[in-house]
Amino acid sequence: MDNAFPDKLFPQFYLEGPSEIKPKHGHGGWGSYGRVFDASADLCDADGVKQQSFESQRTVKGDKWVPVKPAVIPLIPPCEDAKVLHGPLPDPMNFPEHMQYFNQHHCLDAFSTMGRLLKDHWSFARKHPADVLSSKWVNRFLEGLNYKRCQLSHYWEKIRHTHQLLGDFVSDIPQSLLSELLHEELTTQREQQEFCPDLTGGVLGYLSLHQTGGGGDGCLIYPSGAALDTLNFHRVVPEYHDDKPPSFFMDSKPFAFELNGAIRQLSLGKMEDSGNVAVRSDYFCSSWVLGDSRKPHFQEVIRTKERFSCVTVSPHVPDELVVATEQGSAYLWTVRKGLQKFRQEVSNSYLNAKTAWRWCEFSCHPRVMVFADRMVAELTDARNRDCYQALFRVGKTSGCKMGERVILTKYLSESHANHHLITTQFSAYIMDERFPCVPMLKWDHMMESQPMFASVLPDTTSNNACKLLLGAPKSQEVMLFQYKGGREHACQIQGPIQKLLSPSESLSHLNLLRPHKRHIAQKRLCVPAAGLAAVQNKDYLSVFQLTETGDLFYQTLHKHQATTNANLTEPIIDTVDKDHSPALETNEVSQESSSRSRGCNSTSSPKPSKDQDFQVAWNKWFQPLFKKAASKKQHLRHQQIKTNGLIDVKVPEAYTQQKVRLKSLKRDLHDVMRKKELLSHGVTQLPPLNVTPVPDPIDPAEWQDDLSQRLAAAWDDNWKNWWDDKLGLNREEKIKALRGKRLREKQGRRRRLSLSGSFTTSVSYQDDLFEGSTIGSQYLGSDDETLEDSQGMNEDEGTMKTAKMNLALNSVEEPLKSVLRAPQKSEQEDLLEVSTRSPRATDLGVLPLANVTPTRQTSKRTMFDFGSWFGSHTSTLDMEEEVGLSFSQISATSHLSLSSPKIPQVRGLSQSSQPKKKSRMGF
Amino acid sequence: MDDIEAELNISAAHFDSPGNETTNEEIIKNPLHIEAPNKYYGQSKETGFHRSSRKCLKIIRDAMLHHNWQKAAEYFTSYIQTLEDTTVTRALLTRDVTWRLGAEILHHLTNASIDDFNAVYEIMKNTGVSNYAKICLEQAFHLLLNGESDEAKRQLSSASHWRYGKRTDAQSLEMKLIHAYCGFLDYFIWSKKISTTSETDDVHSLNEISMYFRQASVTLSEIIKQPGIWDPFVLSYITMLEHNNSIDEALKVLQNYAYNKEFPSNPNAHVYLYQFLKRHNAPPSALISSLRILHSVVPSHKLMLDFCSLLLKEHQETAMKEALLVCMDLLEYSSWKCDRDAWKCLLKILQRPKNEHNMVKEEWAVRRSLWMAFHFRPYIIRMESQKDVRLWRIKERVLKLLGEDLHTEDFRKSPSGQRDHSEDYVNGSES
Repeated sequence: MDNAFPDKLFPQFYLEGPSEIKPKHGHGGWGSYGRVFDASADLCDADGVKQQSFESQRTVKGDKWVPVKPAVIPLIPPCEDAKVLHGPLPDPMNFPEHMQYFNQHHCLDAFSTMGRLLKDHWSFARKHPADVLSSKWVNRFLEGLNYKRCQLSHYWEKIRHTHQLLGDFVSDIPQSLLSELLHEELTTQREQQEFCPDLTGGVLGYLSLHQTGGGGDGCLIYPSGAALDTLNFHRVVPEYHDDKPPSFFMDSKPFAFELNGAIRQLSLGKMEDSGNVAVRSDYFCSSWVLGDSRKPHFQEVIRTKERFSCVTVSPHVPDELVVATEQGSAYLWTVRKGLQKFRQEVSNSYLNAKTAWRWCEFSCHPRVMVFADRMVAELTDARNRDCYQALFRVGKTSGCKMGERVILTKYLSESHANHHLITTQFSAYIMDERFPCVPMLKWDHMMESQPMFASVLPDTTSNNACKLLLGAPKSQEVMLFQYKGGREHACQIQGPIQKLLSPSESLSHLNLLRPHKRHIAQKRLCVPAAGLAAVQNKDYLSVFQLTETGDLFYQTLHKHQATTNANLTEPIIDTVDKDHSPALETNEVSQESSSRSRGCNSTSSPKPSKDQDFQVAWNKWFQPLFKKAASKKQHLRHQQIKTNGLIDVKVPEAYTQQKVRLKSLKRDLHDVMRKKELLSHGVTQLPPLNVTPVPDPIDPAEWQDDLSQRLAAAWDDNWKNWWDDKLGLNREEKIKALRGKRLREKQGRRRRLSLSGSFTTSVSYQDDLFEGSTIGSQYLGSDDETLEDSQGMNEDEGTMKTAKMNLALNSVEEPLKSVLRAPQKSEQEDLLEVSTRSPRATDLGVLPLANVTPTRQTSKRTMFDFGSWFGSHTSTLDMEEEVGLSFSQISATSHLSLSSPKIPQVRGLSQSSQPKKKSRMGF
Repeated sequence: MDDIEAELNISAAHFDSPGNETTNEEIIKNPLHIEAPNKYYGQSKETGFHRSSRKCLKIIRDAMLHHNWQKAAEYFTSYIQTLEDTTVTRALLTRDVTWRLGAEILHHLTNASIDDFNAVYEIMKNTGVSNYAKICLEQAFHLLLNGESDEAKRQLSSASHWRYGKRTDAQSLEMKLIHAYCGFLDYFIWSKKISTTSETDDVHSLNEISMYFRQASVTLSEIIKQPGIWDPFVLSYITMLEHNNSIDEALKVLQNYAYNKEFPSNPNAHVYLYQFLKRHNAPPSALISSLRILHSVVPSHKLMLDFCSLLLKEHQETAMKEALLVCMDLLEYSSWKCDRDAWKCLLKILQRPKNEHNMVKEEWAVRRSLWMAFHFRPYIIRMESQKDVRLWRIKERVLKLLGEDLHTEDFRKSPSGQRDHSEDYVNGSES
């Protein structure tokens, strides 16, 4: 009996005040036992000693409900004119774009009033009466609207002036007001998408028409139509078998009533032989009655200026309802007797919350109502308006978290006369109105979005658990909770929460669809849920789900006995795996061409009969959707313009030639591929290929820097030799070789003594000197550029520079030079002196002077010197033979400074190519 | 409070530049300031490891919600790695989640042994300190439910000496509960020992009994001073006090439990007090006053019938009136609607001498409209006269005594006008 109160409740702290527990994670519903107390029945063990047993608030094992089918099944054909919002909603800050669109494409709506007023005074015609203002320039502007144009052109100037003149009043709705409203609307649309309190309670109801309930015919009440404004009473005949899941046969046509507003909520009250149905729209509430033998008929409607936020049918007295408005008034509505206001709450019980949501429910006493807002649910006595008591308050007592708000309250009259369900975004509470403020039960419902629909199925026998279903619109989730007790025994949660199937998940359990069809189906199935209803018959539990497009689905769950524990989940997993198996992909192809599909299906799927029904039901459901989508596509064909006569351009001959060529090429390719041969370019008529010429052979002699030479040597396997040469490691060998050579030459010269012969040897000797000097080559490397630069300068500069360099070098090689040089008098003299004193140096130094400066006086002298030196040459040569090598120590530096322009030439001789040198040197 | 903050955020967002889309979107997401449960542990500084562990958690969660425990267990073995996460805020959450998921999965695996459970509880309560008390309590409950009360006692007493300092408010409450359950188990040991030992036993066992008594009474008296619902604790404490013949002390405890303003209005507290008074032969006036208070709290309580019969024994006019009110109040609750005893009680009150007739009439005038619709509408009369004739007879007599004549009453009023908006509202009829 419901009037019994549990003799013992689970221990719990009672703390008042706002909660400080922050919401942490959405997994709080698991792993915990809650609290424990001693079971009232003491068991005795074998020795006759009392063995205390305990009971927990949450029992681990509950009834196991297993879905019969892998996914939900559609119950009625899809509502064809339903609108499916696609994609994310626009950003509210984009309102100017929307305004522009409105003004441009709905100009009659935007400006018609003012246009009519101004019509007599403005004319767009070319010829116009004298008293009418002409504005034919506007035509061009209007034409231009179809294109993107420069906004600073002169048309715009006039438009701007006109706008400044008329802008404030030319539009029917003032622009500022319209934009403000538009922004507001776009913002609310987003809010509504996220959380829409209007839909609280749900718009689906199942009313069993038989008095006993459960067994017989039922009536599904649901809205349909694009705006969900048609109320349908659809008779359902469930067929129950002991061994088979129930099947539902719908009447061919529902009783449909078109209402003057979208249906927001349905509330049902089963009253003996008839059922009361209350329908809430935004500004209307209506009461309907139907029965087994009575057609549904309309009783009464009430209308307010405030929006209704709730309507509930009394479970106690027929034709009694409560309604609540968003302004905070609550009325007891007795049909045909009028309304009685029993509560007026202007402000929210929570100071800052701006939500206008109010809710009313009946309670165990027919004149005591629950009045709820987002923070508090209060029991209010309709006979005495000031008498109320909090049934539930968001706070510490109920273990609430920070920011927790009431989403839905429901009087669970079917399961327990004193129980109320309160859901928040985190938890679900069962409250007993005899013990207010302390929840009898609390679940963390672990749902992704706020539960707004609830359905309760009472325990059919005292052993069974009550089943509570919570549904969330946005995520389409439906959760099954089971609990027990509340009468003699305290309430206990039975087993973990179970998530039921949702329509949006069903596609993965069906045969694969082609992408575009899949897209259509997915879009359709993913719309938010709009209602939830359930009916139980023995071990079968059927759950109906409605989506916002007015599509109705159902699923059946079967209670598994404890004996079949082991292979419980297998039926589901089985079918799921099967549906994902690749075999079905081939199946899918045949399925698309529906007539041939049967044979393939039966061979590929091991469970043909069962899944076939399921698949067929879905195929049938999808058919009108796809058909509609296909017809829509035809409707929106591309506009085709014939261009044959429009474009008359001579096609250039080259173009046709190329076409012919390509054709033949294709043909050739085909032939060749067939024969598996190669297609050579020559056969085709293609333009000759651009043959890239082979690059010229590289002459390493062109690069004269060290690195290049070294690399070149390395390529010729002379790397070691090069280094040896460079570092002078093989000097002695060379000297030896040189000496040998000289000796041989001397011997040869003795035979044929001639001037020219001696000259060449002197050059080669000079060359050798270079080879041997390390320091010199280093200097060469570094000073190369400056020296070369100076080559192009005029004589003065050149000499100046050489002189400076000379000075610098002097300081370095002072000791040596001091030996060689006399005290300096002038540059020229110095030069001359050096040239006279050191014949080896002048041998080089003279040449540039001869080349570059013929105009100078000095040139004569040098010429002369040259001549004189020429004469004395033989003697120096002889002398050198003894001293030569010690001279080589003085090295290039000294004569470099003197004969800068010559040096590259010398280097060119010495370093141009190693192999050549080899042969010349006689190695 | 949080709503003010949310509003401030929104106003701040309005001043933002229009290009700042992300902030706008974030704020618009929770327009009604209804905080959604945290699905993920914050998106900031998320590494690949966090991402994959989050995905893993989602899979586990889905599997668990669909009761696919085997799959959940497989993924859970991988999820344990998240315990290695060094991010402080995440780590706290992860420990809690891991413990909850692990325990729940173990409950549903057929091959899970008690050692597995102990391992999970032991490991999880010692990773970090914030969950220690909670998990200890759960572990003790688990042991109790599996009949290992000695082990549970040992766990609880070791946990009750655990000191770490106060981390959260919840933790101190949990520690109090640990103490309380420790005392509760002491009580069971005590009561077991009391029932097994005879009075002539040796001093040692008597000492032991008194020790358990002392331990249990101290901790239990401590916990029931806290505002809360302590039905099992109060009952055991009262039993102990009664055994020890401290009746006054027991009465004081019960009165505190029932009448202390800081405590919730627990109907059971009043029931315990009433039963205690009745057990100790308190005068009827005391019983009546205790039940009167219960009536003001729960007018539909089962003891209201006792209250009525007590009042009827008083033979006073005021008591009679009170009894009538109590009984009529009781019958207005839908759970008592068909209760034959309640109707019998009402009948008994109405059959009393006529001097209260006026009073009855007054009451009936107030309640008539409701009662006629609630108790005496044609369908109910028809059904009860067919199915529950005995009840119907009583109701019929009550009705007669109240001065109503069924046959003259026209219950089925013909539907009158009031179709103000009907044409406006329903455009089309059946299709």
